[in-house]
Amino acid sequence: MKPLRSLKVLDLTDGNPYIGSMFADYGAEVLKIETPGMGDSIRRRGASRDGEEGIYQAYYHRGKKSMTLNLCDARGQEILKRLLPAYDMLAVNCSEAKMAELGLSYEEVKAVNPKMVYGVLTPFGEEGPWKDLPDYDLLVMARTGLLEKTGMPEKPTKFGFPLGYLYSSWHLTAGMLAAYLKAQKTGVGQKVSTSTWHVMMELDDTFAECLLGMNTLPKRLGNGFPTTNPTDTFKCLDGWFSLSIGSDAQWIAFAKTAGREDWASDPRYAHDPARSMENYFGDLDGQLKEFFAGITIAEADRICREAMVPGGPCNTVRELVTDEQVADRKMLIHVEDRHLGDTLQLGKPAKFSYDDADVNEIASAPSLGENNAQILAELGISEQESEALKTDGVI
Amino acid sequence: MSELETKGVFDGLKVLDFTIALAGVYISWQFADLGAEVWKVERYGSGDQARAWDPFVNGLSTLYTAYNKNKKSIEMDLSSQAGKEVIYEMVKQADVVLENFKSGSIDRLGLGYDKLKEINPKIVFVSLSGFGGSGPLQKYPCYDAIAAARSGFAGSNGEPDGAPMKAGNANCDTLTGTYAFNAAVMGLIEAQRTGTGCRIDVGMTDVAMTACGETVMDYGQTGEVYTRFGNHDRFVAPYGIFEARDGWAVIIADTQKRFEALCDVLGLPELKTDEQFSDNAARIRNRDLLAEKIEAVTRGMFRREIEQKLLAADVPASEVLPFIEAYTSEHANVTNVTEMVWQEKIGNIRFYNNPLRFDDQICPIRRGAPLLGQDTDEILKSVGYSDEEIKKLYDDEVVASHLY
Repeated sequence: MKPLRSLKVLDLTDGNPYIGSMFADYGAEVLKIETPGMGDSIRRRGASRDGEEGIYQAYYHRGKKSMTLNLCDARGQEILKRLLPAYDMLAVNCSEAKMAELGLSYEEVKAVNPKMVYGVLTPFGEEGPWKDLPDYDLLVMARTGLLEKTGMPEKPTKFGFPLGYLYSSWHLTAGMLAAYLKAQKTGVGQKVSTSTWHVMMELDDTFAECLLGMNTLPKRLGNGFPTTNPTDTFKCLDGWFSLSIGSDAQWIAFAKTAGREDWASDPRYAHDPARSMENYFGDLDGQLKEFFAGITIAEADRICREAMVPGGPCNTVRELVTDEQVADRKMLIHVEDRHLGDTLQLGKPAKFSYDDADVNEIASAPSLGENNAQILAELGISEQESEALKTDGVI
Repeated sequence: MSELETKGVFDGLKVLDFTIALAGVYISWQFADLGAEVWKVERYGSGDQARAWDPFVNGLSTLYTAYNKNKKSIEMDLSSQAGKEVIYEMVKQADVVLENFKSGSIDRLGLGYDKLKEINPKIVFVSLSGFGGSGPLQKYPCYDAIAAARSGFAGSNGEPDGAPMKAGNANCDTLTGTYAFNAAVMGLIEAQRTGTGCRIDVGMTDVAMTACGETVMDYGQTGEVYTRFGNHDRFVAPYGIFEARDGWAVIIADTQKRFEALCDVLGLPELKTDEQFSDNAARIRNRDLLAEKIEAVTRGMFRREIEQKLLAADVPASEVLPFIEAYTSEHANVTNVTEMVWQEKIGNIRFYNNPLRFDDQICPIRRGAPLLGQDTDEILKSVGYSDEEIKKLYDDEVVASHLY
């Protein structure tokens, strides 16, 4: 039993699959509306040649349906309006003003379906001097402070995945689900909106320092963390290992288990402030680097487990595929894709007590426009009309 | 303290909140912002451990304050039978229970899902933990940095031959909170339809694995292991972070036209005809060389100058802003990122407005963060305790209101 099995979503997003995926993974019927010919731009990510599709869209669009519709054409807009009554939610990743140009503002949608939850994700919000800046995860992140704060002191580090889009998409989906919960009681939907920039700002705990009006704000600390010391990532004989000590007791347990009574008894390191930021890249950090450089990841892991302190190897997909914890949590699953066949994909992080054996059975990502015929038939549009729409590039 | 006005999409919803620190607290923060009444159950005498995290103003942790606005605090001893009885009364009225105790602790306390669902079958019970509620790592401690390491989150960032890199904030905590918040509302939707709640189990390491969505696909399709790609994109060049005279700038030239415009703006017209950079595939092959040539110019330019000149030529670009510049920007000001709110012990201070808007309206901030046990009496009364019963609970040191 999947918790969203009664939910129907019209997904008008492009280049950001995370909104639709949150719903689709938990059982909702998600119909992607894609541009005829091109389709969602994410289809081409990682493609080796122009005009082809990459492999990633098999993951990004799993469990969704696809219909092509040209929303710049009045007939396309008309068909979309006819779809509205059968759906609970509509999601876009552009401003409502842009949707209004297509005759699909919230007011216009609401007039057709008052229960509709209308979700809007923008990069910077729908007002303000930055509202028209280009929409790229990296560009938004550059303006939040988080990018500047991530990495070693000498330079910021880019994230290898669109962290800003993940956060803001999941914020939006939570808000949309909340509005849907309410609409089930009241019969009235809402417009729910957020921006990637606003979401990332709310998450920055540098804010707490700003409350104090501090003149010196946190610096880039690499893999350090200002309130739990030492926290850092060390190079062992065979790879990288992260340690994160959260208390004086944990520090002493770690030092003793590591066979370093000298650390445990050294009054300079007994209490956290002395292990903290000022010393971060200093003496103790240097000693730890030397210590870990002489042992294997397995040995480091054993010490941390025995001492019951937070520590663990820096895994990549190479380790994840054989990791017992990952297997137990079913975080890697097989999805049969129409074009690629068997694919290895990420599992679903939320485990519900009513999950059935089929919880990880997820339908293949759709081919572009795969559900056109079925949807048009449901709307009572004849085959002849459909052909004309196709010829005119409306579908 | 008088009954607080609750408005918003979760108006009328009640959340029984046992969470501490950050990841779990983040979920109740979202519930509270959106109008739910959040009863934060805090440990007798000391409260949420985040109350001890610096920096402090007038003895109050500003981190705690930022994470706990709009909530109510009841201080109690959960190990006492009388304390458990209070929880059972609260559960009758609650819609959601949130907890991030060490694995299994809440069951041993007699407050686990199996017990609470007997009292209220509609309850949606969310357990949050580092590794989730099963598996060989279940019992081990896990902080943000360790979830980042084990999940592949850190392994996805940084130079291929350098250290894996976690995020500059405790982002595995808050990303997990955001995900689990979705799951909690899904549970509520189902409970409203069927009358039956559920238990939801979310592990921080599982959520943080989302970082590996593409590299898992690579491995499954080709058997190849790709990990970190440095400060530049894997499939498009130039697309990344470049050094400026006074910091850093992001430059994205994701079409041929934009690449040529970039060359013109930077005064590097010869690159347009250089075979090493003739198309995107060539630029990817020679990405490091290209970055060198670009940085030779950008190092002499101010970050804002890079942004403005490139945007004017339709090349997506941005200076990399330190947080304080983002926070004090005109954009932050006109889009109501923060709001001045009264905070006990401190006075009027700025809090973030929730980034969600409902019908274009901000979710109102009703109050700052509660002092320890500030709402003990009010919550007890609202679940049916008389003044005499409340006095006895105080006398027996089951509940308190230390107001730290």
